[in-house]
Amino acid sequence: MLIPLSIALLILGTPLPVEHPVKRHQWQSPEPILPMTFAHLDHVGENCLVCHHNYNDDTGNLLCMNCHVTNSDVWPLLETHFHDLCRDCHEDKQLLNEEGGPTRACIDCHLDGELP
Amino acid sequence: MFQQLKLYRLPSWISKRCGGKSWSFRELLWWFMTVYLLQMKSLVFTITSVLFVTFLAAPGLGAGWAWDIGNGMGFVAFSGLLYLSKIGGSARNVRAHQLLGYVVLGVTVMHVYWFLVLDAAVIEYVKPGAPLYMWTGIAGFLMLFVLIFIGLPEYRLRLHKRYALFKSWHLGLALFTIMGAGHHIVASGFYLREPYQVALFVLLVAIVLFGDSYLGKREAETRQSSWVFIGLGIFCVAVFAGIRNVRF
Repeated sequence: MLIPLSIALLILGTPLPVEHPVKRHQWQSPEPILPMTFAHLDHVGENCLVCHHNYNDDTGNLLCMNCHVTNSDVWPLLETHFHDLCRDCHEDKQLLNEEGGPTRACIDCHLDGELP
Repeated sequence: MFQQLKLYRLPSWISKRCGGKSWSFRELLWWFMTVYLLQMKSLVFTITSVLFVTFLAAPGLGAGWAWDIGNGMGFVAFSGLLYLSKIGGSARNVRAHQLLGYVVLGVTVMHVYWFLVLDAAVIEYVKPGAPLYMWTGIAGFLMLFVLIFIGLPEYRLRLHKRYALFKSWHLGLALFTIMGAGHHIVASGFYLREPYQVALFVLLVAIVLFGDSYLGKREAETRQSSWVFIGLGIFCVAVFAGIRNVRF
């Protein structure tokens, strides 16, 4: 019973009526990646340079993904870079008892939406 | 009704200490629960201390109700896995060990499927490309199945002619299961975020596994350990998620 259910779950995903993120080649990524969303409106109080380091260090002037998925030096670290940047900041906020974003729930960020 | 009811005459040494007062049903219930939990001291110690270590660095840091409940179940399952090493020996205790094994497996299954059902993106973490700590967790989960099924008499007798051989295989696999699950917890690095927490966690595992002289190898009422484990587990998961998500 558990084995067929597990296989069905692994192939079809959750039976709940929710949006299912699908891995695909995005932003010319060499391998399929999950969609990502970033709500700029929720981050208006933050210093832009915290994320947009390229405004300051002349490493590009496009969207984050244009470099982070196409540059062979940083592409292997895509997951680590973005998880660390987003989650660490959200955790710090929560520890300061401020409203922070998701700290672990994958589905809160891995959906199609506003581009990072 | 219960408040009026006089139950059994209590032992005189207790009665004297309480000024000879008569006991209500509720008071007696509390008394029995306390004594009962003291008899199960190593079970209580194992579950509460494993969860306690997670609160040392950042008690208020949570991942949302759904994730904290799911992870609370994972910690309770891990505690159960450790506690399984404390019961065994006599035929009665072996039965208790078997029953608790099923319960621990059930809680582990709930931990796994909870995330797969509630978070549609988690499925990517059980596919190729997932981080190592997910593979060690999956390996621990599968080994728990193997441990339980090779322990059933019909498979055990087919695989191992001698009981001593079975026991050494069972023990070895159990240690690998604990190591896999332990690595899964430590390397995922959210609740155990500081090195001293990891050190305490490892020390705790060692104490439960090898500290027989302090915790007692055999417990008085191991037959009931599954029920106490379930009750205490539900309570601990509620506290684990509640402290992290209720803003005071």
